Amino acid sequence: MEKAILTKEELELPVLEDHAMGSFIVFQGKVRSHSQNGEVEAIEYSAYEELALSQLEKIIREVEEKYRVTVYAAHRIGRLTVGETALVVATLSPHRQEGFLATMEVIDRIKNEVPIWKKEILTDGRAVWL
Amino acid sequence: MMVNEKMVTVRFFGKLADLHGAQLLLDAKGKTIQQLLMELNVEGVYMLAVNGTLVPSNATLEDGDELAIMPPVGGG
Repeated sequence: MEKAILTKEELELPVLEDHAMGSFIVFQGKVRSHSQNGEVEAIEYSAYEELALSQLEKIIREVEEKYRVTVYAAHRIGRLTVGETALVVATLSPHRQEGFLATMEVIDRIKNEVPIWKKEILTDGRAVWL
Repeated sequence: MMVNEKMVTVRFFGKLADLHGAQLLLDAKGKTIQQLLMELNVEGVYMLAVNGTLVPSNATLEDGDELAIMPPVGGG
């Protein structure tokens, strides 16, 4: 199974199994109905796809090495409406501590290092780059 | 095709694509990216890549390069 995914398709939750690992954490990032800009209708995600995928792969590789865990991360691009899942990060680890730390680190690094951008479409018709 | 080989392709992303257009072809051989950003009056740059690899702003451009100019990212 590919561990780094960038797709226009609806995200599915991964099933990772390793009997040496006692913890399996799945995080989903979803489109919220409200933001500081107002009531949200949708978010348009765009990416520099080639670089986004290689950055995602690099983050997974480095976090797996740092925490000795197995990480899966998938990001959706395109127009997502409220409630849809934009990001899935799943982590298999021997114990929960390193699993939560690794999951947090992957999410934080995706937000800072992967070339993906969000344009918020508000119900009043405005569009705001985030 | 001959034209592209002698030019630098400049791609803008996110908010910068709305401001400057998604793509430009320029004669920028030998210039640094920093020089080009000043000439094009581009502000709010967070990351730069040439041919899919992240580079610093003092990198020099060559004919046929594809330069990506990216604003602050915000996935998730």
